[in-house]
Amino acid sequence: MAEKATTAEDVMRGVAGGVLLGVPLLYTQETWLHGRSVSPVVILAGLAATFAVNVALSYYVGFRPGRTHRPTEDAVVGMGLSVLLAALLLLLLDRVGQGTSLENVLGVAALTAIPVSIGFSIGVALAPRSGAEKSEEIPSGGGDLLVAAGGALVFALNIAPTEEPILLAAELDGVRLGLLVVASLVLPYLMVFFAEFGGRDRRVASDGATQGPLTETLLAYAVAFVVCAAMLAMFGRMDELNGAAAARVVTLAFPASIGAALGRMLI
Amino acid sequence: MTAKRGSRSSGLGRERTTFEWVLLLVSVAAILAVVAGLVASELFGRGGPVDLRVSLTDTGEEASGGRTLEVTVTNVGGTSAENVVIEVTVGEVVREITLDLVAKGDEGSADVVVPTDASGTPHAEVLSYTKP
Repeated sequence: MAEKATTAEDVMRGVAGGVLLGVPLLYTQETWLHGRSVSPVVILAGLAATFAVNVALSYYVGFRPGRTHRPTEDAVVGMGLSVLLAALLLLLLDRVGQGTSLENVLGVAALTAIPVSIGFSIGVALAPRSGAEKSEEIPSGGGDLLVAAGGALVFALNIAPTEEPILLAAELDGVRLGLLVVASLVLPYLMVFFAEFGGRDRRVASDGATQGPLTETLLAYAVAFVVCAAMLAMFGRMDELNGAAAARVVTLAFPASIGAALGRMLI
Repeated sequence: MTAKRGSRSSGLGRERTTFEWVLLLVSVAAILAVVAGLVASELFGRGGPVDLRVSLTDTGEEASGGRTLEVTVTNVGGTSAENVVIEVTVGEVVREITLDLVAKGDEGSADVVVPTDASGTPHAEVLSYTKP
């Protein structure tokens, strides 16, 4: 049987893996700093080593179901798209911009692209093909949202106590915060309902009270938003309910919504 | 194992689709751009030590009970600087600010507030920095 051609769903699976592994690093100040201060030679060496790892991962795992016949080509695609994805996310979070020299833009984007590309290369392994064991026992609707809350909690708990969401929220303007909300809805939607992870057909076809893809995406974001607000309050970062507090929640809700999507993909 | 080998060899003969060609070309272009940019900055980039240039702009705005001055530090040198401490003086009034990082080729800025009645020409200078 001939190998299947790469589809947009395959690429989305890789993007999902890249975002999952890349976003925590993206919310780390040291990445922004070291991408600007580390020698280009060191970053190039890192990229070369990562490429070798990606070739191996593409051979054994990959972002397409079944083993690939062109692991080197898949690794090239994974790394190239990861560089673009990393640059997009850095622009979205205003970590590179007009005041950043081209050399530093390339340094930060390349450094961020390293974990993103690893995630891209293991995209197919992120969620079991047939869903997790006993996942069918989880009640639809409320159960999905409970799992979304768990995913959001696990993913954002690593970031909530740190300075980064506060710093980012203070520096992001209204437009970028709006785009972050859009990204927090669109990326999880594509991860859960478009990328061909296990159980996708069941999720798309499900018709429970919260089970339409759009409704579920919105509700899952709402759940992630509430989880983030609670976490920030717990760490004393929500003293008042004002615009600054809302910006912090929106900033943290981006990785949380990715975690919520991962949770739903796993069941 | 035999079946997998057979499957692999048949897959190698498949023609790439247009989508796959686009993906490949975009990816190669992105990688080449990053690699070429990093190589060029290593070979032809500005070398040498930290070289910080400070400029001061009176925004003309009154905020936080005083006059706001915007301090911009540009690193035209070939080495990044961390923990850059800048002293701003307006007459008798002295303010000190710290920028976490001013990378080579980049600029960083911060605002200082001085009393509205502070007189004299604003002056700013770098006091210290550390190398990453």
